[in-house]
Amino acid sequence: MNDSSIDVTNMTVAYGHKHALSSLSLSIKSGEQIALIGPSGAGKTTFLNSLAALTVPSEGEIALLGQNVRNMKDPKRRAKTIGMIRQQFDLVNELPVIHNVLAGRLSEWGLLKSLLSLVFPQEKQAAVQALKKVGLADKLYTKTGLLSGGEQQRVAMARLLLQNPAIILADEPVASLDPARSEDLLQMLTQLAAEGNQTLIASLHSVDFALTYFSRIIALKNGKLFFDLKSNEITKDRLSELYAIEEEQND
Amino acid sequence: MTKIYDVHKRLFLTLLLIGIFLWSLSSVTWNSDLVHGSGMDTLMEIVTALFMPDLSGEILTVALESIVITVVYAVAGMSLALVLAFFLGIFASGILAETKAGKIVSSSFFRGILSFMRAIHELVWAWLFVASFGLSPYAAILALALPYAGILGRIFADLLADVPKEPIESLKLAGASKWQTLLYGYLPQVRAGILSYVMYRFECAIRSSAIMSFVGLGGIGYQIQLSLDDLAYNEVWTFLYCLIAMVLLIDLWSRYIRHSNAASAAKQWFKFLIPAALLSGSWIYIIFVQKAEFLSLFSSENLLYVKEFFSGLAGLEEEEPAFLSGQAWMEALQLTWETLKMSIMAIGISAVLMMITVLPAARNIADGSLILQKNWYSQLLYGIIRIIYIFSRAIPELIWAMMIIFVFKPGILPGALALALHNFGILGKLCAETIEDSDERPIKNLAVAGARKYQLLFYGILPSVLPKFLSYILYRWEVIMRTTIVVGFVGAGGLGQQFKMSMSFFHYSSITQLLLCYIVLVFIADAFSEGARKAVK
Repeated sequence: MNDSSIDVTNMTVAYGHKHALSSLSLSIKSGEQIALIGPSGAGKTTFLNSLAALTVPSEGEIALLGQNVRNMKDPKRRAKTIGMIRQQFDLVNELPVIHNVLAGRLSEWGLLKSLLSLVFPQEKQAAVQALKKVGLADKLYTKTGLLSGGEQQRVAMARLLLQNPAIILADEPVASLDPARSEDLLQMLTQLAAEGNQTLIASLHSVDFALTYFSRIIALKNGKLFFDLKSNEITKDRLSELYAIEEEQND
Repeated sequence: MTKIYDVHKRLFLTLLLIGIFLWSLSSVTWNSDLVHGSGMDTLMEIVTALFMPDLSGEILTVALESIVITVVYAVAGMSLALVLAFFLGIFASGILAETKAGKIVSSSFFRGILSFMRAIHELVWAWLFVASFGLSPYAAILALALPYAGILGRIFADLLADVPKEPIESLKLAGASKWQTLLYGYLPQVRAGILSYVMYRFECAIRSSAIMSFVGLGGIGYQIQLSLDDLAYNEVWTFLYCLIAMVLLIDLWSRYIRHSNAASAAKQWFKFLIPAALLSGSWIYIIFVQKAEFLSLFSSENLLYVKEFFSGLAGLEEEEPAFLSGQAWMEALQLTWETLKMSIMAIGISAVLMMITVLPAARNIADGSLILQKNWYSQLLYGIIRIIYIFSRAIPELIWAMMIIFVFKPGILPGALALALHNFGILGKLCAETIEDSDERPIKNLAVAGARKYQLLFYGILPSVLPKFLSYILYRWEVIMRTTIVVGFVGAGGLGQQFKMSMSFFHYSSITQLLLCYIVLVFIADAFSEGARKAVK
């Protein structure tokens, strides 16, 4: 039994001439919690999107739980393997909270059940449980658009709880939240992932948050792996090197 | 040079449009020959009757009965249109397609179907249906359903295609299938937008249903026609007041739907109850009271009629079909040209009337909140203009035309006037609402900085609303283009007049020819208007 969760070999993503990521290789074990840091434009989002099969790499391979991402066509299998949480624009604002949470079950539902659920919510208990875990049990039927940014992110997490993927990718999950709410959310995210023994990769702008909540830090710069270290091995010098502003390289 | 063009392209376009309008006016010989000998007296009689509608019990009963039929046809037609628009709109938006190529094929094919359905005016559809399967209520219902589905489906498709993409992508990541993203992502996001548009269309459907009587299909338009033939103008106004009341009711209903935050369950049910009652009531009325059998439309007898009708349209029954005759083409093109001029004249007149009245008709100008000053008369003026707008838009073009033709001699002027009278109210309402919704801060700032009223107008209000006005004007011109054929039916000139004549003489191949010209004209107008609207954005 191979307990490696993510294996990336020589991955390159190119948009035209520009390399967003160049020959990246790394391996992540199941249940690890990783922060992805690096300056703007380093390729963090591209990296996460490639893992989620939203972006197709021009070269190299990605294996999730031992299966090649390219072959993961079945939506249900994909939903069970990988789940994503991004900035707060991911929810359908017009729907009540419960339906946004139950969307985590859509991969298991047929058309009829999903249609019926819009009128008589199905598997309501599961949604209530998930909302309790993120502290929003009282907002079951509130219109999602009326919630604050932090609350919306927690709804997105409740959806992930129902979807229950083996790997959670979080793309700047706290980008639009204030520091207190960011801490709250990261605390919850890492704790829930640990409880579910899920692999978690979160891209973050704040190095402080990364060092506080994550044990392994992967840094990207200009589409290349800059370092991949335990959080206690990281020095100030390495960080200022990572974020140093350089002259544009012309090649 | 291109820079000058870019900076002033709105101005150039406006000047161009004004120039075209003035040119269209020059095509009418302006003299007393335009008006009937007794035209002015008739006009006075119509205007006097406006203040003295016939309120006798007999007429009111007739009015009530016929308005019920009008509403029933409108509801039934709308319900079919909604079903059609739902499916066609989804396919036309291309959101269910798996591949990029599939998306292009699906959306261009279904958008084509939708634009064909709406290119032909509902009354023309009605005429075609009556000619092929007789005076059945279904002729009216289908005639309403097709063009309305065309318009609704297009709007629905546009809304679906413009939905924010992040929530949809996120649903896909959660494992949702195409149909599930539709249910949980697309539909909830377009719901509010499509709902208010459907309400507006329902108001239009009442008017369209009212004029269905013109091809012999019941409703309040028939009563108006009878009373007009009797020169009983006060009866005419009774019926028109009924129509206006219906339009106002729908306006209220739609405002209620848009502005109530349905927090309580009772309100939710109430919202659901009105359409449910209307829907079931209308279909029960059609099936059980009017005893209209849908299946009987497909009798072998009707099949024969349809076959005859279409072979007639294809020119198989005539020795020399009109579309093979150069002479007939020359005449048809001449009429097309006239119709184009009629539409330009109509939109020009309504735009000028709108520009004159729109400022006092905006609530925030009338109550002084926008320009920080008000006069004793501004509220009164606001009320009067708004009432005129309601009269203007509640009465369909065809009925305006039927009245105007008593005053003016047949030609393109009465047609243009009828179209202008109806569209002026719609434009006025849309543009006044634009002013009401515009950002008040820059204008108030100018007012505080000491700008006078006319300075506020030219520096604050007009620059922010004119592009929107222009795009409304172009959009209404498209609608007018479609309607030109209808006002022609009552003798107001253009392709419509000839169309009706050919219908009466069973000159079917000529009908095909005129329809061809009409559809091409509508498509050209649509393309021009869309291009111009993009240019002013």
